[in-house]
Amino acid sequence: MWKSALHLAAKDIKLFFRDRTALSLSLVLPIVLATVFGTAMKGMSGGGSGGGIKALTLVVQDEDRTDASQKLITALTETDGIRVQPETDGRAVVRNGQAAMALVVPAGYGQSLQAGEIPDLLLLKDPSRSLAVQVLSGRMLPALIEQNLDMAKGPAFRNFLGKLGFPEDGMDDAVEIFEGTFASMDLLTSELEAQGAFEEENASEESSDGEGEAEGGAGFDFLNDVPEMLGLRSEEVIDTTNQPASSAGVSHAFAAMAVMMLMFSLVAGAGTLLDEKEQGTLMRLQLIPNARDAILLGKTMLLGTIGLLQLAMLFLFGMFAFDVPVLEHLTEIVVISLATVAACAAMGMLFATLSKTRKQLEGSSTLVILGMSALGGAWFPREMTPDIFQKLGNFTLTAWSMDAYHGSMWYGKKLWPTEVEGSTLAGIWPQIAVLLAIAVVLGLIARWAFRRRFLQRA
Amino acid sequence: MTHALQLQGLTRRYGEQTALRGFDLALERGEFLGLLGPNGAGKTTTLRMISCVDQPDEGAVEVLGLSAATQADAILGRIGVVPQEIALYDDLTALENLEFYAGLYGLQGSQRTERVTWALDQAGLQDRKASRVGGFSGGMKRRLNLVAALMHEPELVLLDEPTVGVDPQSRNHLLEMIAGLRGSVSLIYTTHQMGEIERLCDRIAIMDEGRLVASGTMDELRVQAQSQLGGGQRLHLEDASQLQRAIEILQAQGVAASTVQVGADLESIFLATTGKALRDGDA
Repeated sequence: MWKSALHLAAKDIKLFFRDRTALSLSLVLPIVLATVFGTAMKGMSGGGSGGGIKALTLVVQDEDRTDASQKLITALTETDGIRVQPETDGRAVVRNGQAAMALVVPAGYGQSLQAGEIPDLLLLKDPSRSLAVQVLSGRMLPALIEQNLDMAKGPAFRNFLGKLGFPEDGMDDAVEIFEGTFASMDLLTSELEAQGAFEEENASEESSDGEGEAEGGAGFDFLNDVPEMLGLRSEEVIDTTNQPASSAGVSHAFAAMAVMMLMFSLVAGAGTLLDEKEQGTLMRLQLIPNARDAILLGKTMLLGTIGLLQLAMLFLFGMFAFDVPVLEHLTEIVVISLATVAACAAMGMLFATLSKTRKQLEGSSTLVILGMSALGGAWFPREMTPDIFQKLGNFTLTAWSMDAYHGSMWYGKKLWPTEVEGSTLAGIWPQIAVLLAIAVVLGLIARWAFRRRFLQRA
Repeated sequence: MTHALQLQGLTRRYGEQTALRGFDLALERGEFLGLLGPNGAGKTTTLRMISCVDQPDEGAVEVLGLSAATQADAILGRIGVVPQEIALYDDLTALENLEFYAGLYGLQGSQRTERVTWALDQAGLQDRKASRVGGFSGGMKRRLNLVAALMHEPELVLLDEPTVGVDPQSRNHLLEMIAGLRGSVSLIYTTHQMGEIERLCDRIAIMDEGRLVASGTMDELRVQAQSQLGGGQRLHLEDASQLQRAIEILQAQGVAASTVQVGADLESIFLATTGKALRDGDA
């Protein structure tokens, strides 16, 4: 029995290694996915490939334009993990989903510092991007505190202590101790830096700063309370009064699943072309007058039907089970769905026309679809992934489609730009245009491949 | 009146391999032609060119007076091709398959119903029309495969080994169906079953290595092959029972009669014409 079993196993192993699809799915796919996930998670947790941390964009709107505001911006710019993006209308940028957070330095900021008043700063946040907001908040604190060291030398620190309820009669001593403490810390820090003590711990400090402190004090939220004491006010730029707090996540999840499953379904549907080739019906169809382009068009119509049905079912379910705001954005969702289905159908046809067998189609498409889903933001926020991933993500239809769905369902974007609360809310037509362009380009390549590889008539 | 088919000097190369080398063939209207050849002789390539799915590197293909190079769609509307593969949809019923192909050929309304009914009758599948083809036997599928190519009443029919893998009863039914087409179509029939050719075809063309090596009726081929079958003289006997007596007389007269053959069959002619070496090509 053992001899026979070994003989059978040897045969199956030989067949397995001859099956490129099985090989790629079993050996290559796990490595590819682990690489994508590993690199993304490394970036999110602060371990970039170059030893640095993943930089997040902080929009800064400087309305003060003084040396003081410039000094703050310089400190933020030099902060590891923050990429400062100067803008004149930070609210519009966040409202349009182009950044998770914007810092507004209002006119009078420098004057307040000089006057010994707690400066007024405004943080504009996108509540749907809480992870990026939290990470950015934590990273910008050291720069803000550094700015406030200057305050310790002047009357501003007294105001600061006063706001905390510190008794007036002990204020002089407190100021003296505070300045002395920071002077000593400066010396200690310089000494430790000279010994290279911060180089390896930098990243872990970044991640533990916020969480550890937040959990330490009873009722004291480091990330929220300290910024407030430093003069930071927070404001959510998306009006969430008419939608549940979870709706951003739900919308994202449904958009992600919609696009990923659509790609899988339509690639499988396009595989019927290969079935027809294998069972000989394609040859017979070629013998029908004027049927060459009709074959491909007919398959595309099949994929369109499958895709639209699938999306309709998914969003209908999401609307009733998870309050996905479908009816509120029905026109946009229909248009995005049509464009997404067109792009996915063209992609499916391209895969099918470039494959020789259904097995080959399934192997190659699985790799690409999962890769596109990861890069396109279906599994984790794109802004938290390395820059190279974000750039690659721009070449995926997943990213464009999800941008459109999320833009519509969360930010309330219409097809064309609209005026909302005094600022311009971008339309989703660019995403639609890109999806349609993808559909046209992939469709034309698929048509060329179909004629060249499937049709035998010259 | 034009020929049903005229092939002139067809040459077709696939890379290093030459499938056809100046191949000529003509088919009269209403004629049934058997196209024979060992594997790799060029039969399939020839059928592909007639069906406009391939074009020759040199030479010309004229089908029903139309040029295959410039009038492919017009030709396709007037020919019926029965491929060697069973080109049907297993998950559709017999009726649905026939209606699908009828629709593709533009048949509508009562005309479509009439042709579908005719096809089901011809295939002997009227009582199974609502059954999915996936559950059919090989013979049933072959019959359906044949009639599906005849839905649009083609003038020229190409049959590529239409009886492969069927039992004798189904083969007989298929051959009767094909014979029943006589008078309404011209036909080219390829197979390795010599008996089928002898039974159905008016004329036989034998190909080898991309060339036409013999062509004619069975009698003409017998004459052509006589020398290749061993030479000698033919002795015609009115009564076959006199054969032994004839041999005795010949031997008494000192005439050697080492081989006695009562009429060469097509298989003998074919082997004599194309040789006995194994062929594994697929052109």
